[in-house]
Amino acid sequence: MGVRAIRATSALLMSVWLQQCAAGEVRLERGAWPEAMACEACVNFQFGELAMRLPLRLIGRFFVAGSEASAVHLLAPGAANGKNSAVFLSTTRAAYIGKYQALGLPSVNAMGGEAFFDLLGEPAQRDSPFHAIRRIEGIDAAEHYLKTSKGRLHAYWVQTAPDTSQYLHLVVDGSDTIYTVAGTITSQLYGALLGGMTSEPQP
Amino acid sequence: MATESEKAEVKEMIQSFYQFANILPVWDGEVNDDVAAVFGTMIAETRTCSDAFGWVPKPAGGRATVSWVVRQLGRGVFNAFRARLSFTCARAVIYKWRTALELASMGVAMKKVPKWA
Repeated sequence: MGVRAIRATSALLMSVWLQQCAAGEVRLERGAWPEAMACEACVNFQFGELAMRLPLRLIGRFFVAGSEASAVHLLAPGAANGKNSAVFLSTTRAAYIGKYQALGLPSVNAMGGEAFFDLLGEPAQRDSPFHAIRRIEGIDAAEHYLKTSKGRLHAYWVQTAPDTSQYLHLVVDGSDTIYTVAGTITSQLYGALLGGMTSEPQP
Repeated sequence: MATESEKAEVKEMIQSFYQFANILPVWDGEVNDDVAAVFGTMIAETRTCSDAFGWVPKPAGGRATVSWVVRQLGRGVFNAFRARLSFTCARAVIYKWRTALELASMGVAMKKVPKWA
């Protein structure tokens, strides 16, 4: 093998190594809670204890399958189908975090939702359970992992490339539920979801 | 014991499910019987929002295996019936079970094994 070939191979290996390092280096970024927007044509929407005021220019339809009420899809105006919907889901903290105990995570009782999602924002050693959890949760492949808080509400946006699935996790202090919005989450939708969000008792 | 060909067929089904639901990146893990069990549960859960796979019988012991998935849904059967699902149904089911699928693929058995509905 000639010197040029060796140099080219070394450069390629270095590039791959740097990319791998960069992929695992996504860290928690903190941002301001989106401002509430003035909204003339809005609809009040509540999922669990998360109350929102959503603009009709972004939401064309809410869809809940008749026989299955644990997922609510937000469809954009004019959407012919749910292929690009954003889906509201919820589960208990014990179910969401507890499944990772098999990877060596300590007892779920020792970790609140906010602590769990905060820890996901720190690059982890290979022998740490968070090394695998970050990969499973898509943090390693994300462009940004953004946290914002308002009062009892904490939101974590796993912001990936625009053509891939996005995840917005929400935890409420004192609540045992973890909420997730998954799917197509544009910056406008992110702002609209959080802008007017409050925590309210279920009606 | 599942063959490599059976595992490849199950992987194609799972990836086809993700592509249909427009969930990217598409799952790209290793197939084993735990993965098949989770995938079986996902198929069963589509019954809460669609009749597309209502005809699929319960696996023996309540837990799907690679061979069972291939026997029931292989040779194009999965894709033929998948097309009868709504996008919303497929998306909701995948989003609920994607982490279980990843864990199963890593060889991590969940304490609470998914059961056929």
